[in-house]
Amino acid sequence: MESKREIGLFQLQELIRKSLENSFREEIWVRGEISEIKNNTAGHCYITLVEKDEAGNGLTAKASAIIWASSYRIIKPYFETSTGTSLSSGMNILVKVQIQYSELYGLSLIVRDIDPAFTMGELEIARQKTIVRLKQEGMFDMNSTLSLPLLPKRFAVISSEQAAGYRDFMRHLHENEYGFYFETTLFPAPVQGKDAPEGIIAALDEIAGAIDKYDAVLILRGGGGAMDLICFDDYALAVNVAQFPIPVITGVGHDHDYHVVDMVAHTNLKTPTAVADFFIDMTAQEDYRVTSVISRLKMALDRKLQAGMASIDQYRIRMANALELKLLKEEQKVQLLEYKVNAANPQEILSKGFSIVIKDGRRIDTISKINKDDEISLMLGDGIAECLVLTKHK
Amino acid sequence: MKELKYEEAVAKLEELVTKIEDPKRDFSTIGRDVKEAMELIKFCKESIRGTKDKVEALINEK
Repeated sequence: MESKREIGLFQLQELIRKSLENSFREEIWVRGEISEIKNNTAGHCYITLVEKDEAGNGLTAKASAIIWASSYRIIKPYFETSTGTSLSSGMNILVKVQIQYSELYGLSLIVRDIDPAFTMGELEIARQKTIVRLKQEGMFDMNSTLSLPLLPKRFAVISSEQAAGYRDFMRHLHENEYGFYFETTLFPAPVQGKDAPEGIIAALDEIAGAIDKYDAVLILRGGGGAMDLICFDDYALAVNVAQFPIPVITGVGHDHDYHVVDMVAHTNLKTPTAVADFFIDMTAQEDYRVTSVISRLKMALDRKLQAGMASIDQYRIRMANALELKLLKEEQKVQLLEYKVNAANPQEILSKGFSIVIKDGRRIDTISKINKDDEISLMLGDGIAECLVLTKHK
Repeated sequence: MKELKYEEAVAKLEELVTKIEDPKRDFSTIGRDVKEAMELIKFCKESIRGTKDKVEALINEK
């Protein structure tokens, strides 16, 4: 009979541990995707790392990783300040691990260090892929080709009611120095973290149901740190923003880089306050334009009226001159006629001592019309003498 | 007598003056012609003065 060589489970595990410890004396850099991540109250962080097949569907590897509280206190802020986001599931990471095998718990990867640049690179690659995809699908510039009305004043605001950025925006917009009136309706949604895309899309759907009531959609976030903004690189959210039927304006309060949603939005501004200023300025400009048109119109009208008055005055003067000239001519004409009548009036002549010779009822103005023995009348100022011609001389 | 127009009065006056000045005209009517001419002159002068006053009133109107 074959003698069976038996060992206890612990012994086996111990053998595996020793063998592994021999093979993995050095720490090693491992890349993998976070499938699950948990923090316990002691401050340790437990991660399930996986690797997927090329299609990204099936798992090809899976292991547990632990970041002890002592390391996590350093790794966590380092990673967050470098990447602008926190460790979360679905994220590809590159970590330096020590292989540890416990007879009781099996294999664990003890994380000693992390390379944020790797995750940044991965995120950037994913981001670029999303951008390329949106461009290929013709959606990248869709929302930005929409035009805002000249005086946008009805806004659907997607934000979190508690967000400092939202409160700043509301105060800034509604207490604007010009006293312009704006309407805002809040559609509450988480605007950071993993749930943001779904929440914002739901809010967009709700707004789309009453699209005629709004001039623009404003996605606002602000206050807090520049954390958890990967949600604004989300493909589904970008598609919804790009295809939205009215302009979408983003003010998500980050300034170190900007995200896919900002790129596909109609207008991207740094902060919610900047969004308020954007609309106040637009309204102020339009207000100024209209006011200046009105004053130009008034001035033009005044000028026209003045010119009109001046030309009417000119007519008055010309008319007066013409009339005076005409009257003068008429006066002279009548004076001349008067002079002629007086000159021809026999009474005038007779009163000066002249007399008029009349023969057969007619005035005689030549001696040739008088003959010897003619009877003629001699008209004087105060009477007539009947005379007989005795003789005539030339 | 129908109302006389200034232009008609002047035309009549011209005609009368020509008649008065013409030595071949019958002397017996001359007195009547002169009298009529003087009346027309008076009418014309009054017309001119009236028009002048009206025009001045109009022109000085503000």
